[in-house]
Amino acid sequence: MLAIILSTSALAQQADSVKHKFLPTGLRIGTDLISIIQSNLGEKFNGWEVNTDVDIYRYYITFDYGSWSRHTTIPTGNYENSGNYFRVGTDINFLLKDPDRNMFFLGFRYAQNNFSEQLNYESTDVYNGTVQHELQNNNMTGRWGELTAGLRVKIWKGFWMGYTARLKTAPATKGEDGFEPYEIPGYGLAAKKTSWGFNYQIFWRIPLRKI
Amino acid sequence: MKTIFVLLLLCFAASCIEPPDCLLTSTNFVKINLKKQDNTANPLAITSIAVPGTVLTFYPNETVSFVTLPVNPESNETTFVFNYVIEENSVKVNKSASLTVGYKNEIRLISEECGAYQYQQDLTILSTDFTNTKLINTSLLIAVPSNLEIYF
Repeated sequence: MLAIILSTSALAQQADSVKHKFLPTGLRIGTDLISIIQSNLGEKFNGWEVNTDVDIYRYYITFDYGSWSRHTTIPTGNYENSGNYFRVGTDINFLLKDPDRNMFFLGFRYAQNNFSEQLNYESTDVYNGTVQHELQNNNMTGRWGELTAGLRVKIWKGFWMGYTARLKTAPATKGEDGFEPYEIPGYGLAAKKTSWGFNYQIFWRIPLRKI
Repeated sequence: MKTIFVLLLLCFAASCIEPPDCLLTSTNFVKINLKKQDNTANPLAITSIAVPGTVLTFYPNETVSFVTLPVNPESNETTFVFNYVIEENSVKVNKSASLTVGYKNEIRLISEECGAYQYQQDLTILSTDFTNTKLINTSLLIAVPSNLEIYF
């Protein structure tokens, strides 16, 4: 019975692959406009992100790489972090019949980063009076998962625009030394078990073969 | 498809519950109940509670059955010397006993608005001259009614 099911499944996959040709037709390379705008609006945040995907029928293998740093003042001190992150995952396109290959997708990502944090602040207590704390978390690693949803729309020739909404979850960090990690570059506040993100992206699509 | 979209939307909405407020749940005070052997409150005539190596004294000439004492946040242990008076055979006797507690210091940045704070956890009794002490709760939280009990 199991053999019949497996062979039927294999035949179905073979037929499917013949019909849909599971070969990439193009590589899209883009960037997130929100990060760039945020970086230019103030001195607190500085970051950028490169987004890529390649299609295999209705599935899009994605890889993102980004940089994130923040400097902010807090009562009696300041906090700063910096790090680089990557995401890898798959999007599934639900608009299969669109002639321009525009897409509405759902997907998932695995994300990981390397980062460091510094916290400087003053505290006061009855034993020591006012104490200046200078704390660092260096060579930290973080990881998390994401569920994604979004759109990609062809604007002109190889130029595409789109957005990606991200539900980030299950953050984990390793290597903390001086204080509890506050913000994970690419993720957000470490204390939040779920976090969300939004990218507004522009892409250029490089065709790999004719459709 | 519609169900997935709605579920994602709900998840996004749930994650929008915004940053933590500045309400602190931790203290750097250890709460100590003073009790009789039969587990009832024992008002103790305290002359002073001193911290060796400092000029700090707490509860000078007070009769109390409950004390809250600050631990040193720049150290992993704090010693308190209890100077007190008890009656033995209708005679008032001056006594002294020390209690050293250990703990782990943690530092957390709550938010940009609230700033950073230091708190202590994993409270232990490192040494004591008291004959009977009991560790009740290892967390120095506001909501915790008592961390230690000392029986006289």
